[in-house]
Parts: sequence; C-alpha cells; structure tokens
Amino acid sequence: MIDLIRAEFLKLSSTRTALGLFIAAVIVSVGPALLVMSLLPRDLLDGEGGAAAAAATGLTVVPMLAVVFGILGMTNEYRHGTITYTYLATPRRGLVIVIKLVCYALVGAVIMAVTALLVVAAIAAVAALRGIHPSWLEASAISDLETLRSIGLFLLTVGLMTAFGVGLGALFRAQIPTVAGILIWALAIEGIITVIKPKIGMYLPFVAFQQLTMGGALHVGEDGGLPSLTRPEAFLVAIAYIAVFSVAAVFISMRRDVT
Amino acid sequence: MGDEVAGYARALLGAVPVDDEAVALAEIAAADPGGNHLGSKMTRAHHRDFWQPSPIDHNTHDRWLRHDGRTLLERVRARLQELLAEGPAFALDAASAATVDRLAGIRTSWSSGRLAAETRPGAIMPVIEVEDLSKRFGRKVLAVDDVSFSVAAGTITGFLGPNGAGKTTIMRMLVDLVRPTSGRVTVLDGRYRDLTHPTTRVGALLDASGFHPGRSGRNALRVVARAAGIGYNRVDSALEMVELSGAAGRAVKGYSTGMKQRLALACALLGDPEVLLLDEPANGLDPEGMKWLRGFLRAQAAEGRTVLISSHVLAEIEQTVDHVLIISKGKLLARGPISQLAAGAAAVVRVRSPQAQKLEGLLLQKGAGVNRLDTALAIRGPSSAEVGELAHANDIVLHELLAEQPSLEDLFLQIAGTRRES
Repeated sequence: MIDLIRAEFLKLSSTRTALGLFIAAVIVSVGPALLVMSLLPRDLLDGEGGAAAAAATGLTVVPMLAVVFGILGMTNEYRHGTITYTYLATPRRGLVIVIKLVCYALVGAVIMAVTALLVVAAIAAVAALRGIHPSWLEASAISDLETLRSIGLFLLTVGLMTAFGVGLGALFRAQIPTVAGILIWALAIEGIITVIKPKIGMYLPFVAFQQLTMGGALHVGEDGGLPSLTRPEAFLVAIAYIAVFSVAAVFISMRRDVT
Repeated sequence: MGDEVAGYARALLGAVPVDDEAVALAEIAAADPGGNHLGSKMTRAHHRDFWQPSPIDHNTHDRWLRHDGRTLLERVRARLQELLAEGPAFALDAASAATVDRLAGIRTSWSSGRLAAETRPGAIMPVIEVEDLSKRFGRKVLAVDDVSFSVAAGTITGFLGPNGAGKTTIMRMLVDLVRPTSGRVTVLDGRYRDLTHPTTRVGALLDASGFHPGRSGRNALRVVARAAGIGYNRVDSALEMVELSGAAGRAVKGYSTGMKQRLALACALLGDPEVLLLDEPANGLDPEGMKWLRGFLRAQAAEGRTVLISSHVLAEIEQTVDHVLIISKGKLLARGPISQLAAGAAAVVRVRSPQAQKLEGLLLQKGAGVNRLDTALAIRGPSSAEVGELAHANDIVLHELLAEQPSLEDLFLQIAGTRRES
C-alpha cells in the first residue's frame, strides 16, 4: 500500500497538473487580495470590521478548483490510457481508487493551506507598507481557537471536495464533459434550485460544502432568510456525498472493462 | 551463454552415452537460438520440430530426435526430471535455468545461483489456458466467441487475425482488464489479479500510447515500477534493453511512434516476467524497428520466456513465432505449429510460360485453382510435378516452375476462406 501511495505522489510530481492547480489557486486568490489591499482607501481597510477581510474572498474559489483537480486526476488516467498500466500493476482496482481519493484529498488540502498562507502574507505585507492594522491579522485573533477550528474545517472541506472530484472522475471518465458539467451544476443549477426550493437546495452537494465552511451563516430568520444547515449537519451531508460517490466509483471501476 | 549451457548439459547428461550427449547439446543449444553455438548445426525448422515434432519422420528428424523409440526431448526431459527430483544440484546462470525449465517442463525457481524444483515434474506446463471464452459488448457485438487454447511454457506463439478479430479483447481478458462474459482464463495457474506482484510474472504491452504525454519516459516507468513494488534499478535496465536510455529524460509527447512502442516494451519487461503478452508490438515501427523487434523477441525466447504476440501483419512475425493461433471474427480458426499448419495447407506452384493461357485452361479442367497475370500463373491444388507433366504432355513450354511453401498470410487466407465456405 505504501508503494501505491508513493506511486500516486510520483504521478502528481511528474506532471504539471498539481502545479497548475497551485498556480491557478494563487492567481485567483493572491491577485484580488493585492488589488483590494493596494487600491482601497486606508480608512475602509483599517480597524475592526475593516474591508481587509474581503481581500481574502478569492480563496473561496479554490475549493472549486480542487474539485476540478480531483476530476482531472482520475480522468487523465482514462484520457491518456495510463489506467491500463495502473491496473496491470495493481489489479485490485478498489485499492487504487481508495488510494487516489486519499492522496488527492491530502494534496488538495495542502494546496489550499499554502495558498491561504500566501494570501495572508500578501495582505499583511501590503498592510504593513500602507500602515494599516486590520484587527483579524493580529496574532491573538489568528491563534484564537475558533479561528483555528474554522481554518481546519476549511482545509478538511477542500480535501473532501478534491476527493469528491476524484469520485466524479472515476464515475464519468470523460474529462471535458465532466469538468464542464460539474461547473455548470455547481455554479448555476444548484443556485437555481436553492432559490426555487431552498429546503431541497440546502442539501445539494456544493451548497453543503459551502455551508460547512460558512458554519450555517444563512439561518432561517424571522425576516425570511434562506434555510441552511448547521456545521455538523453540513459535515454529515458532505460526508454522505463523498461516501456515496466514492463507493460508487470503486464499485463501478471494479466491474468496468478497460478497453 | 552457449558454453555455459553446453557445460551444464555435459554435467547433466554425464550418464548418457556420448552420441546422445552430442545430440542433447545440439538440442539444448537449438533451444537457445540466440546462443549461436552448437545450435549452428540446427536449422530453425529443426528447432520447431524439437518442440512439436512434425508428423513426417524424415531421416534428419529421426537422426536428431529419435532413439530407443523415444524422442530426445522425451529422454532429456525424463533425465532432467529425475535429477531435479533429487533436489537442488546445479549451479547455472538464469538463462540456462530457463532453458532447463523449457526442457524439463518443470517450473523451477532461480535464486542465489542455484536451481531448485518447485513443483512436481509433468508434461510441459501450459502457462496460459483459455477455455470456452466469450465476450459480448452490449447486445449486438460478440467480440470473442467460445475460444479455447493454451500456450506452452517457453514458446513464442503468434496470435494472428485481421483488425477487429478479437485479439486485443482476449489479451485484455488474460490480464483482467476486460471481464469475460463466459469462460475461463488462467495465467500461471490462476487469475492475473490473484498473482502476487503480477507484473513480475506477466509483462504486457497492450497500449503503446498509454503514457502521460507530459511525463518523461523514465518517470512513466518509475510510476509503474513503484506501484508494482519493483526497484528503480529495473527501470534503467529495461530502458537499456529497449535502447531508449538516451531519450529517457524527455517527455513522452516528443517520442516517435516507434519510441513509444519501445517504451511500452520496456514497461512490459520491468518486472523481468516469465510471460510476455505483446499486442501488436510492431505497430508504427519502421523496417529498422521491425528488424530490431524480431531480434528482441528471439532474445526473449532464448531466455526462456513465454511470449504471446498478436499481429494483423502476418509477415512481420512469421520469422519469429513457433506456434500460431489464427482468429477471425471472434472465433479461433486454427492453432498449432506453423510447420504443421503449412503441411496441411496447399502449396502454391508458380509457373511462367508463353502459353500460360492454354495451360490455365487445362489446369481449370482438372479442377485446380489458378490465378493468371499475363504469362505468370499461381496454381493451387496440383503439385509442381503434376503441373510439369501436364505441360510436357501438351507440348507447353515452361520458362519457370516453382513450388512455393505458403506464407503465413497464404495460410491465414486459406484457413479463413475454408471456414467461410463451410
């Protein structure tokens, strides 16, 4: 099993897919952070509740990139035909898929963590240059238990989403239709369903992933806000999706002909 | 290596009379055509007869192979089995051990420079067995239809048929990439998926384009080696074997078709397997590459590997294989040694005559199959003697009369044609 894990990491390090994801994640998150911090007036960015926190919103795109990364990780095997050699070396296909799910989850989470650090570093650097002191950048705020828990949950979610992408890739195999389909589903269809049928929408996979990181920010309020799940509920829903797709991916991969 | 094999044979067959020993040496060397040693006396036809004696017992065959009512193969095999049954006794190099495997029909293990019998002696063990195998894709496509065959240890077997005949599907079923609809496949006594470290037992070239274009050749092999639990040192050896060391650091997308084919061969050889399954290995190779491939295959066979090689270009493997399996439209049409199939197939008599048209008419009256192109005739049915006598009896001048053994392609066409008619 250790050999398989090392082989999976070698696959990742010997191509540019993981590097590409990392570069894309940095561009979409660090770029906006630098722009916001550089261009917005100081008084908007300074102090408690300052807009400096908004500079980090680019990070919310990274989980979606992680899903695409997971899809590519599996569909590339079919696209380039390397799945033949993968299964020749390890005929226990279930094990191959499980190892891939775990490795990609780890890599997705690590890329998220490094990207987040770069974003914070970029914000802090510009803030220092401009003499801004956002309260959330203070050491006490960052080391706060609740903040650490949120960061951990965010990384876990990104890991789960990457694994979700691997499961999708194993099920659908065709790279471009799967990537296009999942982007349309996540960015458009789920949104429409959530607006039309909010009580159904909150159980949809990407809404659940989002709620997991946001911690049920959209409560059913007396003023008629959108219904949402609590973090534990969102976690269970997210895990259920991962489990169903992973088991289906393993089950189908074991029975599918590799022609 | 020839000297070592010969030395081994002398030691092994010390109790056998001298004339027998001489014959045994020649046989053992013949089993190692790459050795180019004592086997120089033996033609390739003898080599084939050795493994599957022809039904025709001509003098040479008798002299080399028969003694006391037993073929030499039977006697050498019996002696080897006796000696191996007594326990580890011989110091051999790995290639010689493989030759003994072939001769004795015993699966042996090779370690620390000593040979030991692992299983009990018996007839030459089939390493691949396919029984009543069928594969249906969807409802309409029956890709493989009730196919049965076996491949004996240490042989090179050609798996021949046109594109779409079902060769690749069968190859993939052998290694569990495709699930049979019905029937059974056994590789080295079990299913591929049940083998421990399968790539060290069975090497397969199934998809020469199955490499990530952005990965270097060396890394492509390392990924497979790592997953299969094979050391990186084997990666470099395999690359050297296929003469690709110089390009190993380049991305696969820059490789020519022939280079990708070699890389796929290296991948199959990574685990130093005893069985090689090669699906269309000559695809995309230029004449130089084809020549290289033939030499490569002969070297693999000389090391005692069992090779199953598929191709739709029959001429390209005709000079390489011992046995053939002929398949068309999912059905196995014929199997056996080429010499045996050729013996059962009609030879072609080629004639050139200024009176070709007249001769054609006479031959057609006698029921022969004739193709005429200007003054040249290709005749199936009568022997060259019968054609010559017919021409002489009718005062027909012949400029050329040649009996030609059918090529593998002729064989295939005849067999496929016969099946269609029936």
